[in-house]
Amino acid sequence: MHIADLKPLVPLSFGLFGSGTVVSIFWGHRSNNTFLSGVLFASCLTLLIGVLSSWPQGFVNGPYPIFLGGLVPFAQHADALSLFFLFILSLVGLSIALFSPSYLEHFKEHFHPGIYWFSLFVFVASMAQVFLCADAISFIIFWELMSLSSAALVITNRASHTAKKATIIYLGATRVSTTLMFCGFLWLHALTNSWSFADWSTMRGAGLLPLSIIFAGFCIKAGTWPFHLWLPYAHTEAPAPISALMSGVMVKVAIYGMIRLILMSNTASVSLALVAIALGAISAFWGILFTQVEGDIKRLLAYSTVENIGLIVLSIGLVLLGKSTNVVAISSIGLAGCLFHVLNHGLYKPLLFLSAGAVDWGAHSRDLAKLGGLQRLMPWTAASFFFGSLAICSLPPLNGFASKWLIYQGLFSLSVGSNSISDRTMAIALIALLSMIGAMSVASFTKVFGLCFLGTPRTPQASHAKEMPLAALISQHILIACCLVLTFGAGLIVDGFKPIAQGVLPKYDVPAMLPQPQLVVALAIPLILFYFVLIIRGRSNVKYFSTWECGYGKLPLRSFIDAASFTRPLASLFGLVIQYRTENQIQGRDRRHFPDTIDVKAHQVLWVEKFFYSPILNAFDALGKGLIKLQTGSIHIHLFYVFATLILLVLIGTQP
Amino acid sequence: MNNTSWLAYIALTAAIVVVPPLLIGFIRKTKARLQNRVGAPYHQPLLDLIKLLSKGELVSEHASWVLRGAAIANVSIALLLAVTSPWIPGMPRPFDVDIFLFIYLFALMRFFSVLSALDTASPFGGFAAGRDLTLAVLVEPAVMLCLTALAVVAQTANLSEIFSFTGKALSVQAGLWVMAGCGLYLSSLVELSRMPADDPTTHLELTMVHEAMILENSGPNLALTEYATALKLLVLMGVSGQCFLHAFAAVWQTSPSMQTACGAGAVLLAVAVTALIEATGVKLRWTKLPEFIAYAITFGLLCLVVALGVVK
Repeated sequence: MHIADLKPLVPLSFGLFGSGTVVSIFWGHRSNNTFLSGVLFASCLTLLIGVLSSWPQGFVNGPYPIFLGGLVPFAQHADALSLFFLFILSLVGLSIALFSPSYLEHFKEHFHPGIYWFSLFVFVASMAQVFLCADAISFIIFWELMSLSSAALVITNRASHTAKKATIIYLGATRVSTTLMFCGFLWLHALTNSWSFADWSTMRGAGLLPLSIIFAGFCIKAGTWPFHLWLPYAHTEAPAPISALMSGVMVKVAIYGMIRLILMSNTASVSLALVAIALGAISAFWGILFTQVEGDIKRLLAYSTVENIGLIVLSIGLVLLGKSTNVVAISSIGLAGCLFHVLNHGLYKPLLFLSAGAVDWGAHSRDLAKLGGLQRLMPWTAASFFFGSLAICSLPPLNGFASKWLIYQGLFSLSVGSNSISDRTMAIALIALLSMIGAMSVASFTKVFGLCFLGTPRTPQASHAKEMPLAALISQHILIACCLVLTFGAGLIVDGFKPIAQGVLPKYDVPAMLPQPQLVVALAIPLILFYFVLIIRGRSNVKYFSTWECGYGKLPLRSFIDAASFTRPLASLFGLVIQYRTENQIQGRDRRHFPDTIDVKAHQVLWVEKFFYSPILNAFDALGKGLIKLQTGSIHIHLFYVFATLILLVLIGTQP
Repeated sequence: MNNTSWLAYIALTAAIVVVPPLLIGFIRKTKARLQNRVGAPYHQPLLDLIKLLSKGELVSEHASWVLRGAAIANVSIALLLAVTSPWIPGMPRPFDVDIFLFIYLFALMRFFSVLSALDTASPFGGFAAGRDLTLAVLVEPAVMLCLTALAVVAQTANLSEIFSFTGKALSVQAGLWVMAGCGLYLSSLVELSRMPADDPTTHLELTMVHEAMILENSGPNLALTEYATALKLLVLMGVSGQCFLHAFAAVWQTSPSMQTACGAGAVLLAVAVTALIEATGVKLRWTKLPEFIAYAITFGLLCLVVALGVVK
């Protein structure tokens, strides 16, 4: 049997998703989570094998006229780009299927398994189908299914008020995003008289404005600044597997849309490129800045998603810039960096979210101030979080560095290859900014790992933390293994993007990657050597004693540094931007030497929320209060409104 | 591989093992002489390292594998940096690093040293780690700006090609080299926790950075940590010294062996200046440090302006 014969596994996996949906509707409340997660695992595995066997030619299934009421012929079109994103989805799907059953015990009676699994199956299947749509109508239908099912998943914990608030905010963001996209789609349809993406990609010039509107819609879904607001709410409140899926794959659906509709079209404009670069750079900086002062692990990871999406959008901007100025080198390096970063972030961010979920499950808290010392109690989770932190800080020699390096190379080739001095200045400034962002991500992830897993437990509940069951640990280590494969095969991966690049660029030309494997070996040899030297000598000569406490005797638990004090120097440095302040309240008779209580509170004003969204929401409120006067409750007045509207519409309709 | 390159590798290995502790000894001796003291002999740090390696270890009961792992990892990274980065001209290299890898290897070292500071639940380590990360956020863009400006003029991001006395465009940019050298040197002082930024001779002051971070290390672990720091000193002083060396047109024209000799001199000179600053200056207040680093960033920006002007 030839490997390509396995292509039908992709539609088969949709059948499995469908059966999972049906099972969870009818028997969801009774069947146990293990069975349904088994179905999810099987369908994701089928999808993965199908995707791998179809790479890179793709396939076309359909069209099936019975769907969608004959509005457009519904079909599954897979090309290299769709397969690439499906690959990430199926891997993340596999690991969350393993993770979910034991994690869900956490919610006990506060959640309805039927709704959870139904929404999850719909979510994964619609996300997979979004990648396979070749026309706007089916794209937007499955996009909507994806958004709504994920909103239903965010509110899994029905007892939580914050989850309800998060869902409202998330739903608001998706509504605006869909509206913008649909406006753009209708406009493009009016211009080309077609719903097919292939027809849209051939048009020039005129498509720029509708494409910009669509780009704005995608930006909201991707969570770039200033539309990042929903991410910290939704990712924090959703169950960990859902956050992993949302952050690892769902925000990338918007990136997929940008590549499919904007990069693959003939409409390339410098101004759109500059907007993308600016939005990307600001998101990256803003996201990582907010991780500094965040004490909730999942919220911190959500802000870090903002940062990474920023880097991806920035590299999309580089591709656009290269395309519009006809510099192949810049656009191909930008594209390679973009795709590689999507792949990397699609693997290590779910890994981190799952580990954070494991911490939440084991120690019943996500607050860094209540954790600490978990390394002893949860060694495997600690190991996976450690690995994820190394990767997400894009430290060499791991895969995160390879993609960051490509983005740096793209900017560097812009700074030496561009004709315009403003582009070159921008490129060098961005390189400096990126290095600052890199240093800040080291700061935030050492904070999380150090304060959560190292040192001593700060609360009794953290000192009774327990490790998750084996399946949940395996799910994290699957992702680690994938990251390691990407680390060693970085060069091969970048070459492997060629089939995708063919649809986007006339020529794909990427410089040789860094010698990743040699780097690993060069670091590993002395590491192992020194390790054994230390083991052979001196191990017997080790004494264990308490940490140095200046001779005061045993230190209280709270003397171990906590998140607020750890980030205080950095927070005060950027105090103007993040509006972060700590206030000390010391009370007692002799306040100076023997205070009764010391209370430290941190305040933060979220600028975007306060000065951008609040005024808009207040304006809507005020408008609603004004408009309510129109609603008198009298049928006569309402009939008059109907009549007046009719007259108005007739007048508008008869205008030439 | 022919005989000369074997010899060069052996010389390099010997230099990497012996020179870093000697540089520390050189700083201490110079400082002592400037303060009218006799001072310990130059090779004292080397002896200290050997002594520490043979001693027992006192480890905090809260410590995990991170404390020991970080020390080992940091030495490995520092060795990689010393073997691959161009701190002296004419050095043989197993493979080249580019400016991005160079800076990220330092970030990797910081990742491990911060974690080892947090590992023992020591309040000193925690506060110092927070400060160290803050300094890094400011220093990294400064270093990146200086190196990128050089790379843009050289049209390559490969660090060893930039510092190889070859590129035509770079040979006439004395001003750029001096400014990049100043920027890198000031950043190195902060990165190495030397005087205006941090006092390397005191331990328990509340505003210390580096010494408070390594407080819980002892015995062989401390030896590895100290050795990694010394290696970092060699690399950073070397690279910033090379920048100044490249500003002299005469050095570009001499023979490779002469360049190597001049390079060694440049490292020594950079270290001597550090000792001079340490003997005469005082440590800056913590809140003043961002202003000090601002000078490094300013040099970086000036480099950027020059680089943009040079490349048409």
